[in-house]
Amino acid sequence: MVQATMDPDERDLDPATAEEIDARRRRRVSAGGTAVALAGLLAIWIALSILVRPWVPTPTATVLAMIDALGSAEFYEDLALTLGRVLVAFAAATAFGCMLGIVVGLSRRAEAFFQPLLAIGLAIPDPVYIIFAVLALGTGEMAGFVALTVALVPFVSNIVRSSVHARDIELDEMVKVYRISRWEAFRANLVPQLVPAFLTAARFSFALSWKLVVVVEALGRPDGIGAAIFQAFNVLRMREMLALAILFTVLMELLERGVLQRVERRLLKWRQ
Amino acid sequence: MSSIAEPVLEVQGLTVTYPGTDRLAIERIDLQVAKGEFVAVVGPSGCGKSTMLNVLSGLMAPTGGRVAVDGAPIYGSGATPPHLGYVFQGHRLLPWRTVRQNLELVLAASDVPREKWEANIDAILDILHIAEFKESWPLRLSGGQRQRVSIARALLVEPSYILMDEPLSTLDEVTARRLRQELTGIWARTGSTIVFVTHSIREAVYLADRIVILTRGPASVVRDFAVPIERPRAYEDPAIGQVEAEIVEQVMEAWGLAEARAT
Repeated sequence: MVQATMDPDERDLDPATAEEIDARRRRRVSAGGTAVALAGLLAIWIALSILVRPWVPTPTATVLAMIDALGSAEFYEDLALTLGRVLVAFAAATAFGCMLGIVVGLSRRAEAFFQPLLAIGLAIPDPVYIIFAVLALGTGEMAGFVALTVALVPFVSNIVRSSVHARDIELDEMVKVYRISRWEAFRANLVPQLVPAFLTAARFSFALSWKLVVVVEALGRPDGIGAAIFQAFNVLRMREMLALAILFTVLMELLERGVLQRVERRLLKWRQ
Repeated sequence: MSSIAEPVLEVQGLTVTYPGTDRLAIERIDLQVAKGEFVAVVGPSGCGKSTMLNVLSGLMAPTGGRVAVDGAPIYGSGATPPHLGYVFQGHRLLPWRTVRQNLELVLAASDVPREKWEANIDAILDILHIAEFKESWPLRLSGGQRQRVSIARALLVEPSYILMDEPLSTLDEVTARRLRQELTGIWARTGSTIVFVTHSIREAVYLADRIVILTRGPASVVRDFAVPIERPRAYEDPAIGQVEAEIVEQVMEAWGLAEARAT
């Protein structure tokens, strides 16, 4: 694979150097691709701001609104509230979903019971959870938390269950032959095999939770980034609306890359 | 087969059918392995060798017969799980644990006191010439080094016996030869009881005290005889080649291939 992208002269290099060259080349291609995509997005944005004036603000006006938002205390208060809700929902859904996924993956009885429920859970559109939670629990914090957790758990659980099914049975045999205790086998053999699935589930859960939190806030909360975006929409301040959305999206991306990717590198260092 | 006074491993009338069928995988195998003995089991592909090892390792209950370790049955009521080491065809190390952590995992489940772990690990890694890889991840090791760790793991738990399932078959010939040689040295030093499954008759003659030849499936014992060559042995020794040729004759006959060869 590596050789196919190499120049003839590079074939004589030692594998470590060749891999480094290939990694650098891949990074360059990736950065180039990102730059082209962003430039394309900007071009579309400019075109829309001309064609759909005044509903789509210009990039310049949006940047100015972003600077205003970054200078206001209100933005940081809303951000802190939203971030707290995202993290609580993310943690609860990931933890509960992972545990359920393991149980369903290991036990045929649990799978027979939970799998139809999880399949239904996966099919229900997320706003339905939010609407029913608000109707049942009011517009307090609990409604959002319950709606998000219930919406995310089927996805997380399904990812983990598949990974439990796909685990290496030969390692299970080794553990049995050497009479390793059930708890130690779970801790040392099963859980590490599921780490890639946990990370995928966490990434998915995080991405979905911040999107849903914004919707929950827009529908049923007086505060938070979602509520601020909805209020800006109500008074047709499109610049503010877009500025808040972009700032929040960028922050979530940075969190995903900064935290989850570091955790991934640390947990999977044995592969490097 | 002569009876052994106090066998470590004793198999009587072992019979196994494939799950959910009446088809026999193993048919009435009798086998006794004495303490410190190195027994090689040779059989054609698909004859039931792996099934036999699964039964001997406690992974699969037989349909009939008795398997006992140090006199105690390992299946049935009042059974005692066997205390064994197992060198699999693949290394089956946990790739997310270093060599030391892999070894500590099995030690934690053994009767070896914790204060002896480090010294025992160092000693066994030293014997197997992999001391410098103690803190390495298994994926950083070559195939031969991983299989050495696997052998170290089997020896460390101070087992009643060690099962080896074609442990050298996935290695290149040069590495396999070195490991065969080292294996005989380790066996001599530790006095371990080893049941070694292989396809290679020459490997069996070089390594074992006794060779057990199985029929084509369902597996049953057709020949069980002592290897008449003094130790230490050399892999290229003409005596080994001669015994190998004699065994091949018998194997061809036992597997019903003698006529095919003549034609």
